[in-house]
This record gives sequence, structure tokens and C-alpha cells, in this order.
Amino acid sequence: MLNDAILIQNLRFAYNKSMPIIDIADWQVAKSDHVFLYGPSGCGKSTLLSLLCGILSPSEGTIDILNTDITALKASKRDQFRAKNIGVVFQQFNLVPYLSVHDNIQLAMHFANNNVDKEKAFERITALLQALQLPNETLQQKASELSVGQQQRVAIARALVNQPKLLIVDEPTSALDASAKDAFMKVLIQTANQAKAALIFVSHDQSLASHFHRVESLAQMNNANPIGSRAEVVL
Amino acid sequence: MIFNVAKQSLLNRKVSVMMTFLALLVSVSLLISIEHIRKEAKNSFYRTVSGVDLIVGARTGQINLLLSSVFRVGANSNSVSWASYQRLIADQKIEWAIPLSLGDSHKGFAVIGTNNNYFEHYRFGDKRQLAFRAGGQFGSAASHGIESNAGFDVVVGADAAKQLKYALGDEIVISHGVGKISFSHHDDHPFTVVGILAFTGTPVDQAIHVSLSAIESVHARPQTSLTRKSLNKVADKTVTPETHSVEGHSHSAATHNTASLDEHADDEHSHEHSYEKLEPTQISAFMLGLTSRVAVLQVQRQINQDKIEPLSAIIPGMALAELWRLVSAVENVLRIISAAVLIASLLGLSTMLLASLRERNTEINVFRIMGAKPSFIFWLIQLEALSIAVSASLFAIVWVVGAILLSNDWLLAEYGLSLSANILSLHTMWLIITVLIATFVIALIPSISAYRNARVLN
Repeated sequence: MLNDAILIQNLRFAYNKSMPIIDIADWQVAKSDHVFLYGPSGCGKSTLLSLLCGILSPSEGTIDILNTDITALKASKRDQFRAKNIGVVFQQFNLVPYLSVHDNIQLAMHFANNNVDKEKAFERITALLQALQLPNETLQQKASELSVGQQQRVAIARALVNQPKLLIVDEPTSALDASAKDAFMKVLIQTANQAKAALIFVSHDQSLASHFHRVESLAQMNNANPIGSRAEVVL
Repeated sequence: MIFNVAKQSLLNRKVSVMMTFLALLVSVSLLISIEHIRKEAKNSFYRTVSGVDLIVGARTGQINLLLSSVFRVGANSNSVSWASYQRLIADQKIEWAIPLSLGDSHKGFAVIGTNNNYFEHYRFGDKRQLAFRAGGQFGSAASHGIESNAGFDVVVGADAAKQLKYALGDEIVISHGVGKISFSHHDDHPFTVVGILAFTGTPVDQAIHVSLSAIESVHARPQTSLTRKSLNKVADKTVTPETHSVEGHSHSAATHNTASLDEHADDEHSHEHSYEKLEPTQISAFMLGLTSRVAVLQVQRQINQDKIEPLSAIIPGMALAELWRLVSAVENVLRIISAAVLIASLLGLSTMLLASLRERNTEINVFRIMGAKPSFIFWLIQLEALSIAVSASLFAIVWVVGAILLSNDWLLAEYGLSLSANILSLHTMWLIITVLIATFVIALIPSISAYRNARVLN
């Protein structure tokens, strides 16, 4: 139990009672584990991720993240918890476009109340950029001036800067071409390993599953999946 | 951190931010300048007359008396007998008195019959005395090297002199009545400009001052006029023979000029003396200065209850305040208009922020997944709105002060209007604070909507 990064029990979520979107009886992810969660669009993927991040509250059930029941936390505490413990990278738009790379990453530290002094923060940021194979010059560039591949790598740096123990990544490669995709996956898994963070990788692209030991289908996991049967047909 | 984010965010949307800033700049400038001009107008209104303790006229309302005696608007049809005037000013509590004879005009400018007390005791603004730009008071012609038909001296207000292009020594004709076109010109009494007053920014600028006896002679019928009397009093030097005949009214100025030249050379003293003796039978109003201000109410009551003649004595300050209350409706309209302009541009600001929220949805999501509280989003939008409003307000102050400083010389020369450039009063501060509070309230619309959006990831 204590070694779980995620523990979901009897989780239900519905905007409208007659139409549950999420219904997961039991799901666990161990610390430092890497999970490939296969989910075509429309199977409740975004909702589940919002629940895991604590942006949405479930209708029923509990979600323990790193042994903390986030459903019992107040909204502001959940925001604080997310900032400190969960790194999130989405499909696209992970950065504030008009801020520099440095300011984006620093802002993430600011929200986490990470009172690291300036020099140390700078060291940490440059180390991350190096690990993600980003040149130091990018630091002062605006996020909007970077290529999509670079943006996604900066997003990982931003997600990891507070040294979270859980990294949630949603379709981060959909905007990348095949070679960039491969390079991105390698960097991602390597840095997640270095940070000893659990990694939840959500994608509809099964070719990426080869990078993971554990592969699961959200459609099968989610009993409420409105298009579950259809998804299986497609499989 | 939030300041840096707000700054970068505004810089990122330069064009729309700039337009909103300009709209606010214009409306805040408008608001500040309207308020400033309103205050200055009120000040200068209250400064029209000062240092005068009482104004006395025939029985009438205090606004009527104030309008006719100070603003030269309308005329009191009743007058005060010269005897009453003499009787009342004999009181020991009275230090000085300025008699006023109103109701005549010259080319649309009010003609005021008075005496030299006017130039010595009339005060305006912060108890400022009337100053001469050129020449001097009645009877000072000789000392300024001007030849005048003594007793027919004219002192012209700054504005009147400017518009009528009068200079020292010019001869003019005064008519009876107040209209611009008068049917009873009195061409037989040419007046000479002996003094031009400096700008005061009060109705004095539009006035033409002559002596009481001159007014009296203009009003008098030719047969019984000054000319006949002077004939009797001064050894028939004053007037050329044509002057007294009724039909001989059309005598040329040249003839008269020669006559006055002669008399001037011959007998200036006796001439002046003769006019002093020519006492008016009535005046329109008079202003009083008392030896002690404490006596004002007492003297006022005394005059109001005068048993011989029905008179009204008013305290100028109180009458001005009552008159301003009437004028203040216009003042409120001005305020309402500038407030409406401000609200319109604040709504523009709100619209700009609201429109940008759509494109900022992803950005707001990014803040949220980074761990920002919804309140961060709320304050970010508020901060952006407030910094536009603060900078617009600061620039508006600089802009208005600059405009006043640059136009001051011109305003003073053209209109005799002097605006103080000191707009940094407590009042302006309150105005700016009101603008900022209004900005906050109106920016609640986009910031609350952003806050709501932020609570659920899209």
C-alpha cells in the first residue's frame, strides 16, 4: 500500500447522474512504475487525468496519490498538492506562450512554493535542460518561438522541476514526427528514471507501447466507458 | 512573479492593450480636465468680486441685484436716489462706496457710470486691485499726455479694448440703452479713452467705465443737459455754439475736438470742477466697504429696513453662492457626460479582456496544471486591467498638466482665462481612486469568468 503512487478505489464520476463517464473499481500504480495507458479519444481519458490531477472531484470513491487522499483535500490544498507532487504534460500547450522558457519553469517552482534560492533554481533548470538535450540559449527564448518538439521537452523540464514523484503525460508526441517522437520517448523515460518518478503515459498510439513494461487499456478499465464496446471492435 | 506574468502578457498583446490604454487615457484626461475646469470656473466665479462687503440697490432679489451690478446681466428698472446714497454712505461704519450707474451700452459692451473709487476699491480674485494696462483713472488724462474733454473720460475693460481696438486717446460715442444697436445715439458727447484696464477674467473686462456725471449728461435731454448747465456754470468756453441747438446735433467731431482743445488749454481745473458739481439724481446700485466686517449684518439690516426708500443690501459671497447653485445644473451635466465617457471606455477595457479570454483558455489551463490556484487567474486579469488604468491615469495627469502649461499664455491673452496647472489636488486623487475602483468593478466581469473557466480544465 505505502508503495503506491496511485491508488484508485470505487471511483465514479458523472457530470450527469444517468451518464457516468468514469467508473473504476480498483487501480494501482506502484512508485517508480511506468505505465502505458492506452485510450482512444472519448473513453474518459481527459476526465480521468483531471481527476488524478485534482482539478475535478469525483462523485464517489477515493483517489490516493502518493498516500494522500486528494479527494479529501480542499480545493486550494489540492492545487498546492498538484503543484508540488504531480508533473503534467499534455498533448500541446504546456507552456505560457509569452513567457520565456526560464520564466515558465520558474513559475512552476513558484506555484509549488519551492523556495529554492535563485542560484540553485538556475542550476536545477540548466541541469534539466541539459538532460533533455536542450541548448542553454533556449532559456531566454519565448516558449512560442520554440519548435513543437522543443516545447514538449521544455514541458517535461517544467513538469519535473519540482521533483514530483508522479509524472502524468498525455499524448505528448502527437504533434511530433516519427524521429522526433522516438528521441522524445527516450529522453522522457530516461529523465523519469533519473527522477525516480512514476510515469503514467496516456496515448492512442500503440506503437509507443514498446517503451513500457506495463500496458493497460483505459477502455477495459473503465466500466462506464460509453463507447467501450466500440473501442474493443476497433482493437 | 504575478507582476512579471502580467507585464509579459500585456506586452504580448500590445496592439489591443494600446488601443484600450488610449481610450482610457482620453476619457480619464477628459474627466480630470472637466473636473479641473469646473473647479476653476467655480473659483473664478466666486472671485468675480471680493473685498466688497455689501451691494445695495433698489428693492429686488439678491440674484437680480448681483446679476445687474456685478455681471451686468439684465437691469434693475428701479434706482436709488442720489440723496439716499449720500445719506447712507455718511454712516461712520462705511469706509468707502462705489456708486454704479448701469443700463447703457456702447457697441454691445456695458457702460458703467461710476467714480474713481471704483478703481481704488473694487477687488476681484484674492482681493486683487484693478490694474491699468495703459493710462489711468478718470481725470488722469493730462498726466498720460492725452487730451480729453474732461469729465468725458472713459476707462475701458481689457476685453472691450481688445475687441473694439481702442487705444489711449481714442474718441468714442456712448449711446443710451443696452442693445448693440441703439436708436438714440448721443453724438454730441464724444468720450476719450484715458485708461485701459488689465485682464481680470471677470465681467470688468467687458465694461466701459465713465464718470457718473457723464452718464447723467448722456441721459439728460439736450436742452437741459450738461451743455446748458455748463454754460451757466463755466464761462461759456466749454461748448461751441452749435452744440446747444437741438437741430445742431450733427456737429462734427472735429469741431468739438477743437473746442475741447481750447478749453483744455485754457481752463482745465475749472472744467473738471464743473463736472464734479454736476450731481446725478439717481444711481442703479452701489458697493460698500465697511470699516469692520463685523458690522456687515448690522448695516445690511439697517439698509434693508430703511424707512425713506425701499432698498436691498446683499452680501456678495452669499448671493454668488445662491447664483452658483442655479448654474450648478450645467456643472452636473458636464460631470455626468465625463462619467459616461469613462464608463464607456471601461466597458471597452472589459470587452478587450473578455475577448482575449477565449484565446487565453489554453494559457489558463497551463497555469492550472502548473498548480496555480483559480485566484491567481483572477488576480492576473485584475492586475492587467488595473495596470492599464493606472498608467492611463498617470499619463492623463501628465497630459492635462502639459496641455494647461502649453495653452496658458494663449488662454490668458485670448480669453483672459488663467487655469492653474496644479491639478494634483486631493480632489484629483479621489477622482483617480474612483477610476481605479470602477476599473476593478468592471474588470470583475472578465476576471470572474476566467476564474470560473480555470476551475475546470477544458
